[in-house]
Amino acid sequence: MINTLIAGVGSILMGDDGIGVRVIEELEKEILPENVRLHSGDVSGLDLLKVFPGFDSIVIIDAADMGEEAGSIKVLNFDSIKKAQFNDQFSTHGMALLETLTLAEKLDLAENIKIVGVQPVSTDFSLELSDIIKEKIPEIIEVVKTLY
Amino acid sequence: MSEKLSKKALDINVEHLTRVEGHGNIVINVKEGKLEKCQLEIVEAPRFFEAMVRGRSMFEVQHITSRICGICSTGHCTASVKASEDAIGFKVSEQTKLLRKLLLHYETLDSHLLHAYFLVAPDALGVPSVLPLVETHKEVVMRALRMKKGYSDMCDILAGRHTHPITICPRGWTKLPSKKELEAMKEILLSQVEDLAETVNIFQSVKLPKFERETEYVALTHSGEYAFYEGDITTTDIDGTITPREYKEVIHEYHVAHSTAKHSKNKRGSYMVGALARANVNFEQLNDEAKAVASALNFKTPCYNPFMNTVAQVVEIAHCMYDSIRIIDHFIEKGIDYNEAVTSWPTKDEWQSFEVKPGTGAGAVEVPRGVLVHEYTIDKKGVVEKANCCIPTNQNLANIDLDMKKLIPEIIGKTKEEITLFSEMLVRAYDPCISCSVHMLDVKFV
Repeated sequence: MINTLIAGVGSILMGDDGIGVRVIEELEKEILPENVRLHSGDVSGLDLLKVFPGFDSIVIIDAADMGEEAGSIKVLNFDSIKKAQFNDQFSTHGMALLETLTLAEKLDLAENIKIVGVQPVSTDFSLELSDIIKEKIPEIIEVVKTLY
Repeated sequence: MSEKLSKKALDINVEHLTRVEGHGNIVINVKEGKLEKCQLEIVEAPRFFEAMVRGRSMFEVQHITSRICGICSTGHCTASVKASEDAIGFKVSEQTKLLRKLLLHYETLDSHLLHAYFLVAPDALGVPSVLPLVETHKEVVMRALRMKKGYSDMCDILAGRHTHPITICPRGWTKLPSKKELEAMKEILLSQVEDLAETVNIFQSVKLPKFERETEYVALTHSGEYAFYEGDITTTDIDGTITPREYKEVIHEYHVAHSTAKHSKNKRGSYMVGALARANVNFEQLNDEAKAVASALNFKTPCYNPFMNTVAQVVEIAHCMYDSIRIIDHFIEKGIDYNEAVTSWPTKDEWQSFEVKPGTGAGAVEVPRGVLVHEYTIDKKGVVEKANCCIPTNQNLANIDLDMKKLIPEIIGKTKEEITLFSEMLVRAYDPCISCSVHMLDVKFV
């Protein structure tokens, strides 16, 4: 059985940046297969990385500036994304998603990483998602369900 | 500062020092053989947490102050509820205290591990960051992640979350752990015994600079235990102790031009808080397992080498781990009194008899980086009128500057790169959490 981790990352204080966390909140209301675990991601990379061991497949839901129309949903294969270039400017507070996932790959923590990117409308200070993104939640959930 | 140095000129400016939490710059200037400037500049914007809690109920402030830091959120939360309880004259039960001690241990374990493995070990292993370690010492990184996850999982069980606890509140706990949960936490701790031994092995081979500067060491102290949760404040320069409410008798805060965070001093130009200070003050109260680790790492007190702060942290990892097992065993054996559970805000019925005596109180706890004090003035409705938070990193800043002023002349014959590395390692040894420290700046209008 393939164990899948579905992690929603981002800050709910920053409007649409919190879409990953909001999707997890919706998924928590459902009965999911036994091989699927949910994680409402922190914004700190190390705190996300530490939950990866033991999973064969990782699905990350995050707001992503993909240059698409607001509300667009894309499943990105991690191999198709330019990996993070590391230097010694490493800080545990500032470890971004790309660095976290690159590190996970180097540590052989996940053979299969997929990112569900959602083009945000606004990532300014707000506890609310924009209307366009809020309406997309059911569609994002359908996309996520095709990945486990 | 008037001492003639072998180097005529040296300019070091490390902007945004890496592997510390937050933003700070190291500036060193030598001109015509004289050390002109040597300091850690704190450049982060202040965050005004004290102002944010003014006007908020004592039953919610711990959730706000917890956000001062994602690493020591439990410490802020605990200092916060203690300050509120002290202000209104509320005494918590022994069970509540013991469980708070357990949760504080988890945070100390998590934070010390992060510092030792991710921030200090790369210097010791001669690589610029933890990332090259992935190629050469994969098992070390995996062990650190495994240990970190264990601590986070225990926080999750006890506090309801990995960070920013939700079960701690004034009066007690909103959820008390079941026997099964206690056993799960014990199992996690026992599974890490071998990881702890491997951690000690790594730090046995770590070569730290030989540098000494005796300073004043400040920590909580308690007659019955190695103090983290409760105790009075003492220092190596005073006889006796002072209560948390009298903290201003030791913690004298002041502003300097090169830092947005306040500096502190007491009897000398500076003092030190944190694992090394705690060990210097309370070494004899460490448990046997921690003393064995201290012996294996050749750590003896009094120790005046600030670089040894990381070693003191590894010693405390052993102490917190085995003291956590002791506390859990106590509850497994004696059981938990579930009638003590409280709601986060008093219910209507509880309010009928709940007494809020207006006043000012202080809560002091030892968090990973040193003694943390929250002081609140609370009115008769339980609303915070005034707040002050004394953060450990602030208290260490003056000491870091004075250490650098002694260190630089001693290593001035080295290359600029080596001097830069040693200065960075010195600052990192203190495990500064700059984001925490820059919590308030007094603005005076003329």
